This record gives sequence, structure tokens and C-alpha cells, in this order.
Amino acid sequence: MSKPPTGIAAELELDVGRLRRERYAKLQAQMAADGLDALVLLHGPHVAYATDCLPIAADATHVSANRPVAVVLADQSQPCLLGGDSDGLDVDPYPAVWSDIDEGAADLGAQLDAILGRIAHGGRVGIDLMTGAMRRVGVLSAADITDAANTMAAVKLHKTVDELACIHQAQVRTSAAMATVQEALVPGVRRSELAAVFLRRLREEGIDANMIDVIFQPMARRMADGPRTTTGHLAFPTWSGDPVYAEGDLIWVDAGSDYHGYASDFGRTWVVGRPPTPAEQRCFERWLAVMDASYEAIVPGATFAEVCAAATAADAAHQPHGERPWMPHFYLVHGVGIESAEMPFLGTDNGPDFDAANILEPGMVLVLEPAIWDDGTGGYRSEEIVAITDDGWIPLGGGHPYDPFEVPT
Amino acid sequence: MSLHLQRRARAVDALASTGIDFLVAGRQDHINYITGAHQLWTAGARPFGPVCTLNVATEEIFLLSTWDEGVPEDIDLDHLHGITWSGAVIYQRLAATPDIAAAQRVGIDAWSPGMAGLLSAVAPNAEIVPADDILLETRRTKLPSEVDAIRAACAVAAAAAAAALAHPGSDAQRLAAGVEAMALAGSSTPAAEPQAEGNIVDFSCIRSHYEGGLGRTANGAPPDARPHAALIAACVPGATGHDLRQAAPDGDWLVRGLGMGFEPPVINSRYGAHETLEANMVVSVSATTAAEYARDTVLVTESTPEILSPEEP
Repeated sequence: MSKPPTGIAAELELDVGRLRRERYAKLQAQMAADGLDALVLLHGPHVAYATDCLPIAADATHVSANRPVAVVLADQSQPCLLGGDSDGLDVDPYPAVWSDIDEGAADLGAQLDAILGRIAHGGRVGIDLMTGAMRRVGVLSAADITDAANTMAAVKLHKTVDELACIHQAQVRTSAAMATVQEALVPGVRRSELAAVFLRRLREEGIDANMIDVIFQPMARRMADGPRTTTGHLAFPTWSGDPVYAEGDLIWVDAGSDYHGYASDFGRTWVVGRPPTPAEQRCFERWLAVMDASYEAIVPGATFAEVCAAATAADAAHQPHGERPWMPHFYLVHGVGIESAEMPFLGTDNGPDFDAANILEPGMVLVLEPAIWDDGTGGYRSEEIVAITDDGWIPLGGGHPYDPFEVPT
Repeated sequence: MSLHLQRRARAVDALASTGIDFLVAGRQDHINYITGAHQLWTAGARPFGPVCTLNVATEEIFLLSTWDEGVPEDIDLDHLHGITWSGAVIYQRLAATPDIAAAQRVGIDAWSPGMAGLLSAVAPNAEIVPADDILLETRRTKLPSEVDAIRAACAVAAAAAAAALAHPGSDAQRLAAGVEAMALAGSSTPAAEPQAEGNIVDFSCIRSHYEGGLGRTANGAPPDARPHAALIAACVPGATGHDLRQAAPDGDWLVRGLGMGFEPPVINSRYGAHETLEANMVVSVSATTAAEYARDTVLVTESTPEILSPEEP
């Protein structure tokens, strides 16, 4: 088992029409279950879920300045899209809105009133976000407003086969770009040079949506030499800066980009310019043992707590203080989809009761990211993605090698 | 005084003048303005959540960050809130903010039904009001160091535009060359989505919190004859949105604020007729005619406008 999982999901092929139909049907069913007459969505990934108008990978200020808005009415055959590029989408298009400025928010309010009709007056409307301008001009002030967060969380939790295909594609392409970056990692290279290679290669792989400023963080070998933290543990991932890497530097890598609105999550540990020391290799082998135990425990019906317990037991011999083999500000596992981190979360500060009360179900996607630390040596952290099936799981992504660490035979 | 403390003082003055006693901010640009913290950049707007809490009277700040890397020294480790995945923890932290229970007026920079309920619970006597407009009004006029930061960001964007214009390949290859050059020049974080389409390019970046950008047409007109030349010339103190409309060419055009990303005012053929430009505002000025597209980053001065983006490319 101690090899990067590979291959099976390569057969997943994206059918965009089916992706749209199945998501929209789930949304309609969830709205009925939640008693909603309409959904008004401004958060980019939510708009993409409802309409397939994909989020733009730009700074938050630009994305929010004239963001598209999706309106979903119960029992209507397709959504309304205000602004955005509606070419080729199955939507009723409306003019663009500038929801961050008062004049634009007033236009948005008028469009919503026209679309919603009598629903705007006392109807049950789920909304995920309002800008200050929308509050100032009184958008939807006569509707019965509720938070759309629960509705969206419910539809996102279990992926359709096309959503799995998107995540798989995002991961394969991010991984291909990273293979080139690793070749460029030599003593004396700067972080900005690695970022440049990565961003160029991503686009050559057909991805124009890099979603996070790519992380090549040099890790201090002792926690006490790193930044101070609220947890007393590791600081990762911090903001980038532009460090120059020297031979023997331990680099924790993390990247995420979107394919058709779905996120990848690439994580690896690299050593600059030399093979890992035996102590570094031992950290990797502890990490592999935690992964193997986790893979074994991941079955539909398992509680989050059971997976956490299996992962913890696999490293217990190395943890005199009973620490768990992942960073305390994160998790053993997070989900991924239209957001880079979404439910399910396993091993977070939601606590043991939360982990005991929630179970793995088919269609959930898990990013496993245990982290091993041996103070003085440094540590090892990588990430792998799996999707829960009816009887187990399949890997998503392309079996990226763990070089320069060696998987024992 | 360091730049972020100068900015914070301006924001605090503006918030205090409207009677706001606490600000609960979720938008990264507002948080950067007030704290000066360098935090990991992510694309896209996040859902609204309490990332930074500011007591306007005492200037005590609580910031969501598990580590002190990138956080200025004036915010102590014991005022950092580590990353959390728990709604209960978010509530407990907000509720534990000294004096917030007695707040009369809490400003927020976005709104959701869930967060509104949470804020009403921790500040039961407070009016919860949008404060994004107060912060953005404060941010309109720039301090000299902010102008320097914008100018530096413009140079980075110009390197990207030059690389894309010089590349002989397809649009996709030119975009790839542009973002690669931008990272090498100092920014791996775009402001707007980069553009390379036919003979037109437009690149912008966020570098050290500030935006810079420009747009060009290959083999276009000299600067004085570019489609936005008259609009730039009209960007003087006292000019109204209506005045800019008179100066605009036929075709699409936009004058909008630029600083820590996209900012008001927004002035185009539909919006912003009532807006008035002031000295020390920085605006992005763009226009498209049948022949050409051009965009520049422009500082409004007491005399003629100063173009902060390089003339070439």
C-alpha cells in the first residue's frame, strides 16, 4: 500500500451537461427539503455550483467588485445569472451588477425584485452574502431571509461522478506542473523563480485559475526556531516572501488550482540539492505508516473518530506525549470540491464528539494530510486525495512520486 | 510612524466619527489596511467571517492567525486567534472580546444572516451597521508611501505586459509568459485576471498589499494618442463623474479607484456621475476604441495627473 495511490480515476471523464443537470437537480431537491422559495447566491463557488459560471482567479477586491449573482427559483428549469459570462450556459441571463457600490446594489435590488416577484415580499429566500451596499439600499428587505450556507453545504458534501472527474483533472495537472518545478529546485534558487515556473506550467497544462499563492516554505528544523504560534506547534503555511534556498533546506510545498471550478490540493516535502538524511527518511516512513493506517480505516460507515484513531495508533510509538500525527490548527483530513477546504473535516478543533458523531459516506472526497515532526530533524508532510465509493475508496490524482524520499520495498 | 499605523489612525478616526465602537472585518483588504499583516493570498472573495476585530476607542486588535510570521509587532501573540473550524470557537472568541458586550454600534464589512445572528448574540445592545463605505472612503486618498507601493506594483505588471507582448506564440502561451515574468519581477498574485487576446494585453498584480496595472495594444498609438489620453488629462481635483463622461471616448471606458486592490469610486457611462476626484487619489483609467485598448494607473495631483505605470510597454 505504501505507494502513491494511482490510476483508477483516470477513467473518470467530465460530462459538462451531466455535471450541470445533476447539480441543479440536487439544488432543487435541497431547496424543497429546506423550504426555500428562492436562493440568491453571491459567493463565487456557489454561483458556479448553481450556474457553471466559473469563478475568476483574481484578487478578492476585483472578484467582488462586479461579481455575478445566481438566482435559483424553486421549480424553475434553469437558474438566472446576473452578470458573468453566460455564453454557452443553461441560464437565463441578466445584466451585470456592481454589488459593492450603492448605485450598483440598487440596480441589483431592482433586478432581484423583478425576478422574484411576489417571493420578494415575504417569500423564504436563502442568501449566502450581502455587501454593505446591499444592506444600505435595502436589497430584499421585505423577504423572509435565511442563510444559504446549510443548503449549499448539503449539496456539496457528496460529489457526482463529474465533480470527481474535475477534482481528478485539477490534481493531475497541478501535479504535472509541480514535476517541472521540482527539477528547478537547486541551491541558490529563489521562491519567486519556483513560483514563476509553476504559474507558467499550470497554464501550459490548461489551468488558468491558480487559487492560492503557491507555497514553498523552508521549515526551521526546530519548532523554537520557527515563528511563534497560538498552538505551540508548527507555523505552516505562512505568507510567501522570497527566500533563497540553500542545499539541505527542508521545503514544505502546497498548491491549489481549479479545473472547471473544482480545486486540487498538492502537498509534498522536498529537500534541496541532496538526498534525505536517514533521520529525514524515518519521518517519511512514519508518515507512510499513518497513511496506510488511514487508508485501511477509510470505508463508508466509519466514523471520523475511527479514522483519526487508526492514524494516531500508527504513530503512537513515536509520540511520548500522545500527540496526534497532524498539525493541531488543521486536521488529519479535509474535504475538497468547489472550495479548497470544505466538509468533511476529521480531527479538527470541532473536537472528539464531532468526530464521533459524523460518518464517511460514498461521494465524499478526502484530502489526507498528516504531518510528522521530529524536533531537531524537521518533519514530513504530503497530501493525497481519495473519494469514498460504495465499498471503499478510489484515489483522485496522478500518483505523484515522493522524491527525493524513497518508498521502502 | 510606520505605514500601517498611519493607515490605522485614519481608519480609527473615520470609524469613531460615525459612532462605531467595534469593527468586525472579514475582507482581507480592509484587514491589511488596518493591521499591515502579510497573510497568505488566496484568489476569490471569501464568505464573510470575523477575521479581525478592532476596538475603536482603545485600538486593541484581535487577528485570525495561528502564527506571528508576517504580523507586525504591535499585535501580540496573545491577540492572535488561531485558525479554527468550529462555529462554537468563533462565537466564544467574539464573546470574549473585552467590552464588546456593551457595544452600541458594531461596524461590519459584509453581511450574512448567520454572522448577523452571531454578532447580535455577542453585542446584544448594538446596532450592526455596514462600515465598508467608511473604510473605503478613508482609503480613497493615498499617503505618499502608498503611492510608492503602487508605483512599484505597476513596474511588476509592466514586466508581465512586456513579456506577453514580446512572445510570438498563441494567446495562452503569451499569458503563460506574462504570469511567469510577473512572478520573476516580484508578484505571483494577480489583481485582476490577466488578459492576452489578439494584440491586446492587460496585466495587474498585488505586490506588498498594493495593486499596480496597465493595459496595452501591440504597435498601438504613442501615449498622447491612446484612447484614454483625454480621460487621463481630465483626472484633476474637482473633476466630477459627469466631467469624465464628457472627456471619455466613444466605446467602453472605466475610471475606478486603485490601492489595496479594486476600490471606489467607480465611474463609467452608468455609475458615478456624482463622484468627485481629489488630489492623492489613484485611479485606473481604461478605454477601448475600435482601434485600440489602453489602461494606466494614474495619480491625481494638485496639477497635472501623474501616470504611475511605465510608458513602455
